[in-house]
Amino acid sequence: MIRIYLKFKAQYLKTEMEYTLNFWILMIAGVIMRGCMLAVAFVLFRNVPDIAGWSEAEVYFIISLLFLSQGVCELLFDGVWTLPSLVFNGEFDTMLSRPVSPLWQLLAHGIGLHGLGVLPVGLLCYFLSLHTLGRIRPAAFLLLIPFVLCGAAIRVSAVLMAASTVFWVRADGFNFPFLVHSIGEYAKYPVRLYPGVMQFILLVVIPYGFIGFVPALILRGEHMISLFCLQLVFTCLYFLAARAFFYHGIKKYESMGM
Amino acid sequence: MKRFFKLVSLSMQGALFYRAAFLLNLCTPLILLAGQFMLWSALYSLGGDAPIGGYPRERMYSYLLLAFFINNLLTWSSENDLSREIRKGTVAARCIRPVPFLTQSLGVMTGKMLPQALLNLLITAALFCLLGKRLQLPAPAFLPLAAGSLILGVLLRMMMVSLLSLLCFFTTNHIGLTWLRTTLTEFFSGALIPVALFPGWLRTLSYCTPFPLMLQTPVSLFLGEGTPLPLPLCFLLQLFWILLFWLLHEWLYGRIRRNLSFAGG
Repeated sequence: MIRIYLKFKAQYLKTEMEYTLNFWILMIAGVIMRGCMLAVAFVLFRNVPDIAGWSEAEVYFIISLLFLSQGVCELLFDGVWTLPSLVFNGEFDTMLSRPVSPLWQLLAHGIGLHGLGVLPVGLLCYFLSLHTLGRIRPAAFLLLIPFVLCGAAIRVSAVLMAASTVFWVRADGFNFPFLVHSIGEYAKYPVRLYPGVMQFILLVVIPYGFIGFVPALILRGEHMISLFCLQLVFTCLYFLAARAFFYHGIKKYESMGM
Repeated sequence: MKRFFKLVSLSMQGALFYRAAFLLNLCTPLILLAGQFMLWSALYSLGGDAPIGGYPRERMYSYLLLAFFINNLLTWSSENDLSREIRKGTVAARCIRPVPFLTQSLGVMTGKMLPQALLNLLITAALFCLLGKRLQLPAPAFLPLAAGSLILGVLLRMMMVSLLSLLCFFTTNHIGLTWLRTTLTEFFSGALIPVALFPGWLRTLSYCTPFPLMLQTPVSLFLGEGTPLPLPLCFLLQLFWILLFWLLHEWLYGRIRRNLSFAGG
């Protein structure tokens, strides 16, 4: 399955690199978008001393994990965003007719080269924020990979669930995954800042809080072991729920015809 | 003008054809507006209701509402539509119509904008009525000036979008162009956070661009705030940038037409 995944990715990479201007536009757009996100936090902290007891460096740390998980997601699993258009254009039938899991094909579909621009920004932000906080320790390096992988899995799952609504809601042009993603982006600020309803949304419904806020709590030293275990378990459960929802949607799918 | 209004009408019909999608797509900015309100409400509560960057709570809430109204007038589908037409080859129809390309772009955008503007106005007015006491109401004396600035600001934004859409002739990747445009517009226009809260050097940099003239300036006028630049200069700058984008559009489109070739008859 890994081999098939890598073959898919290789083909999409060749397609994307055929147009180098496209590649550079996406890279630059990715970097500028993240720069503006950081700039919003920068401007905010020029006007407030802290956010719910969280310092500027800690907020940048949360944002850096959001960037890193997004970079990995874009590079490796950008295909989930294409599900609605595949269904509307009748191209999803091709995936169903192949002897490979449709979910695996969806995850392997396309490649978001803009992730290559996002990852360095995220890494730079991660290490600079740790340096400012004086927390450059082995734990910070060791935990980076599981944090990012869990974050990417949560992102993929959230977008997959949102995209799978296309099997029921037939409204061409409605971008539900983008709505879910936009709500999740509020997790770039400490989740404790928000009222209870929003905290519930950001920790359970669209659990982007587990991408940046919970790792920030872990690195702060708050309930490290239990939060880390909770993050791993929750990520697995959330992914399984998204997978189940996707396959349930396929059962409702009526082909556009071959 | 008759042709322009015909294009506007056709575009509006297209936008309203999928009514469910049109209404559902309104959910996104509304939910984001709610998120903005929650964020700023929490920041003000944590700070003991002290003004943030010179903005008391009521004025900030009003700012968010007005920014929502203006920022969501235009969708980001212009590059998407043109890119699709270029790849299918149907852009030939745009090129051979006896209507200038820019007029067609503006007509299509205006058609899509009008129903959105009406909905935004209803929502904004309803929220102002509901939350009246918690908001700073627009200054009546400045309303005509603010409306004028708003119209010029929207036209300026449409000109910029039309110009940047032409880059779709040079790249298949309209998504990157859209992201670039919307990110820079939203940040520097004050849609995400008021330009007035920017540090001095960043504020100066912002005002060297046309973006604050699209949103921050009309909103400041609505709220009866002063503008960093004298008012006549603000209007002149809006007209200057509109003219500049028009000239650039004509130049770039001329270059595109000379090099454009269509596959097939």
